[in-house]
Amino acid sequence: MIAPKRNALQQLVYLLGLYRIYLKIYFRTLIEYRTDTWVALIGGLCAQASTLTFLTVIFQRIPRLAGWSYYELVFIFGLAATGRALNQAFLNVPYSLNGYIRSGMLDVFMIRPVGPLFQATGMSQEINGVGSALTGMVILIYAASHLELHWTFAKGIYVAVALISSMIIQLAVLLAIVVSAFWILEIRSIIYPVGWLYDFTRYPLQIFTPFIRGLLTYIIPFALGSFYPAAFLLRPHLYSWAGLVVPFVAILLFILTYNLWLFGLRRYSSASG
Amino acid sequence: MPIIEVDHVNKVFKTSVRREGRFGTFISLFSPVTRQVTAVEDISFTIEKGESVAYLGPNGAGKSTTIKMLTGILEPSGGNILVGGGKPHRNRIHNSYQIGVVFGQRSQLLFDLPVRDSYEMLRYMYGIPHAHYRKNLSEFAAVLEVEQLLDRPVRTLSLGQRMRCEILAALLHEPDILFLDEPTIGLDVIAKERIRSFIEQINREKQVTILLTTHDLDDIERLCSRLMIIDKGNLIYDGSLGYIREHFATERRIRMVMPDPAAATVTAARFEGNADFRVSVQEQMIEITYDHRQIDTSELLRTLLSTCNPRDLAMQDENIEALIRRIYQDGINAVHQQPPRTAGGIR
Ligand SMILES: Nc1ncnc2c1ncn2[C@@H]1O[C@H](COP(=O)(O)OP(=O)(O)O)[C@@H](O)[C@H]1O
Ligand SMILES: [Mg+2]
Repeated sequence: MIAPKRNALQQLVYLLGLYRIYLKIYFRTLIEYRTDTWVALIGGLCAQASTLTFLTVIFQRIPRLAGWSYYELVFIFGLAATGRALNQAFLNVPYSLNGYIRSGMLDVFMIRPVGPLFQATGMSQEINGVGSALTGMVILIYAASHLELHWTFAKGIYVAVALISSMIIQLAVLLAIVVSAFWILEIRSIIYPVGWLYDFTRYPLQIFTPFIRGLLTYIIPFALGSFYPAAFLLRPHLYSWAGLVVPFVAILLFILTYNLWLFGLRRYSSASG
Repeated sequence: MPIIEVDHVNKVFKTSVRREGRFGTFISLFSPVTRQVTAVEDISFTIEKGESVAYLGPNGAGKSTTIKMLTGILEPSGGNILVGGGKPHRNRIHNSYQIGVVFGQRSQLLFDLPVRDSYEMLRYMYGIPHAHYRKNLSEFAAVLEVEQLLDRPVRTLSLGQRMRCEILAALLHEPDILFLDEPTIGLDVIAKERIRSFIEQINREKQVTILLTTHDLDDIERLCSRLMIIDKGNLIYDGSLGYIREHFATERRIRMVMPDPAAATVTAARFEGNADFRVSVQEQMIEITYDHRQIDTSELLRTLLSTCNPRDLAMQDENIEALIRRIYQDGINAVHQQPPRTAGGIR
């Protein structure tokens, strides 16, 4: 067969269609394993709920933290948690990549006419994340309903932009780590502690030491996808820079990481056998 | 123009070795220790469209590594590869349309879902027109006898059934070349035969170029007019199986059963002095091994029969499997002292 020619738009439509197929595949797999699915879904909800209970207890004792009110704290938490959960649900590929390399699945992706990163992403959904994302959104709406945020259409769009940016920043950071760890340094487990760092950004950054603040803003900029967008929505005058910087950093990081991925793929040496 | 050109290709793997000790991993971060493995060394060959070639070699010889370079998974460390005129690693997407790949030890199919779902996914991925897809699926499914399997989850299939479904998956987009890396490994005789006859058929009827790796000689005998043998990364033979049989299988064996083998031993002793002449006696059986190029078989038989009176007599060619094992073990020169002048023989 000859490769069909597609322009940029057709390619985008093609990839979206493929992603839809992956979702369908994932959904059908979930139905095959109904019990596991319920366990995962409920597990995600429980994990989030227990964190929330813990948080409520803590926050109600400290009605203000670093100048943020209780509902503001919950709002920051909700946005960050939703971003994390959406990333886990749809862009979980950094965590599954190791398995794809070991099992030789990456080889199979490489003989097909679609980028292997896209295929690996398409095969890496996590239902667990859907449960968490739902709870995250409930938290977010609960907090927002108690705050005088003067919602406008633009602000609504910005929430979506912030969540997508958050997903992409996490993907970029974790993927960069996985690629360098696999192919440059060969330490595989470092991704987990880096992933956990994200949890810090569910709280106001001011409560941390300057080192952690700097780390999460400049080095591993998870905060740009969670705390800062939330702060921008809550205190627009103080954090006005975050409006454009957040999506811009997300795009930039993604381009950098994608090139690192391509570089890693050239050094990829497959698995024996 | 050949459809596959491999020109002085090398592949060196660098693997980092972790240091021992408590801080081993940490130290390795800053001063990695690497070990180099040359998996493929200075290999050259070309394959014409429509050929069917077997790639034979013991475990670890470099067969899979070669296939991975030809399919664009790995980049050669040196040398040049052209598949359909392009570099596979540089343009994987273009390459993916002209090749189909079957890995004996990896699966293309979605493990938990019915076989058909994997095919549907591939149909969309490659953008196969619906009419072609339907035609290819029904045609191949009929020949491979997998129609009954299409709606069964992949995980419920036997290895042989799965393998046939894998082959179908690799052919849906009508590739020009089919690579198969140990497609018959672990299969029983019947399953092997089904796969062989299908491969033979698509090669003959659709002119699909075949390159298959194996260590099963029956695969070759059945499928491939051409045989390449690789050992320790080096291509040590490129020619026909017939040529090996004719020129390398020089050993003949005569077995006679008689009440008094000792007498025959005395007669046989006349031929001793030839390098490859051996006689062994086991109770009532005498076994004589010789090189048929050095000793005339009819003369040997006449001499033996003039003095002995065997109850039974059998002659055997050298077992080709054992021969190839000997080629691996001792190198091509051990089985063939004077390299043939024929072109396309030994490298
Ligand atoms: N990804 C890899 N990393 C390091 N060494 C490898 C890798 N793949 C293969 N090798 C080594 O290269 C050699 C050839 O392997 P391979 O091509 O798989 O052999 P075959 O397929 O003929 O059994 C072996 O020594 C093997 O250990
Ligand atoms: Mg192999």
